Amino acid sequence: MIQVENLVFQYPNTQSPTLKGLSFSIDKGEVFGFLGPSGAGKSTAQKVLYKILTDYTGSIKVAGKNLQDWDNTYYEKIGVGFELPNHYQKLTGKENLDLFASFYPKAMAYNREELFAMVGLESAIHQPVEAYSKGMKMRLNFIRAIQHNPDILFFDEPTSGMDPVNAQKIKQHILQLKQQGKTIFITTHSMHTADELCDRVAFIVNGELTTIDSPQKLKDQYGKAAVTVERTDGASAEFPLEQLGQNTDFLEFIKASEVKHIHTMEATLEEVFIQVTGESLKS
Amino acid sequence: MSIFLHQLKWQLLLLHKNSIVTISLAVTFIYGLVLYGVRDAGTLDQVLVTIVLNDPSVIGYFFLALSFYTEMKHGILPAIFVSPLKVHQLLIARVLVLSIIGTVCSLGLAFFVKGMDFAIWHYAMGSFGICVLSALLGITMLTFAEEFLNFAMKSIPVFLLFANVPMLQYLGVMDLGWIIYLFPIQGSLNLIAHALSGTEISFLYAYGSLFVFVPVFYLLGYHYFTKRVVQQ
Repeated sequence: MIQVENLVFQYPNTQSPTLKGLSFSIDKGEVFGFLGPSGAGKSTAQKVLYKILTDYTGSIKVAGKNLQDWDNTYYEKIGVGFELPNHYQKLTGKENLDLFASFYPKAMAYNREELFAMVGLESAIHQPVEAYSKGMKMRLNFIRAIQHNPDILFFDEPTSGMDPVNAQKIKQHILQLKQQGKTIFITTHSMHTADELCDRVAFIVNGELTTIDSPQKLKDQYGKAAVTVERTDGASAEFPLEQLGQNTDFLEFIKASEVKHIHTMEATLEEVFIQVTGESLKS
Repeated sequence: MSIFLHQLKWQLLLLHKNSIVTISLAVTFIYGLVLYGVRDAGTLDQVLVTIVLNDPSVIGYFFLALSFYTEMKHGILPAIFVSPLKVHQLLIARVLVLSIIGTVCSLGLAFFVKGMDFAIWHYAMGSFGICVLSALLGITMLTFAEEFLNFAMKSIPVFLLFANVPMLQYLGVMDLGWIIYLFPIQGSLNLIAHALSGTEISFLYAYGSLFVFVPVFYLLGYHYFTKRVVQQ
């Protein structure tokens, strides 16, 4: 659905490019995560893909067509959920959606009431947005992004500012959109979100992509196929996962005293990121 | 209804919700009362022209900027720029709606003191021209300031040059000779003065200047808005 080849972008009056030859592709129906610390080039890459920044070099194809060849109908094909709430405060939630719906030549795919109910905002539909909490505004961001039924969705920190219950609901909706065949591009700092949602993740640092793979493969590759066992008497030991049930050292160790914890030594996505890039995501 | 017509409706609603329509009408009403109080004075037409030069230009210039700064503050513009709405549609709809409000206010002022005893069409076109040019200048200027206060400060010299030099010439305070015809709102000013007092006028110049300056100001505003706001 999206093919990017050797994408380079440099802002005017800067010494070096912000994006230094990015190459990646995203299949239809795939959830693709873009992970990187602040200033890594995530926002710039998004703006290029939104067709806002156009002075780039390299090739970008979306749905088989060069990005530069798309006219304004491109924006009927994409939906964008922003990192921060961005609504008209004096308008109600419904008016905000209606206003944005008026930008599209075709009728909206979803009923407004259903959309609000979907994210638990049905009772706030006629309230001015200035009365919404941040989490409510973020849910409004989400339904505004999907209301015209786009094929490609960009979500920037899709669960930012939400309580755990609503964050989980939004994640479920994103997975349902994937089931419907939508192509989804997520940028996030949250390793947990990326791990739960993304089929593949790309690490971007200083404008360069260092790794692209599935979260599970990365965790397997950079983790250790072993468990650590900690007993209540304070003793702990590490055992390889291979043939664990037949490992006499392991069996004797757990029989010797009560076991307090057993942990696998699979790397977290954050650990993988730090190992691969040498940088922390929170930097 | 086309996307553009929808935008006119929404822009009007947004201006209304942000009290801009109410403020415009209230200020016009106060000006109207002042004018009504001095309606028997010999210089009434001059006072009216002075007010009309300032009232619609302020509505066009400052209220347009205020509406965009409100959207910038709440991060709304990036969401608009990734929708099928064209920047042209956004800018033209907003300029048009503000200019209609400014023209209605100007007409209200004239009706207050002159009744129907003035050339309504030329007066309306002159007021409309001032509003449109002011709003378009506002688009360009807002791209050079991050927030409204800074914009207001930077606007003082620009606005004095844009609106007040032609006004001072009209009031006889200065005489710039033929140079005054290079000022963008001079054509509109001539239309308003002619509509109210029957002063001599070249319609070719008055309407011609609008036909020249409106597209030039629009292209300038569009260029800066695209480069400095959309692509940021």
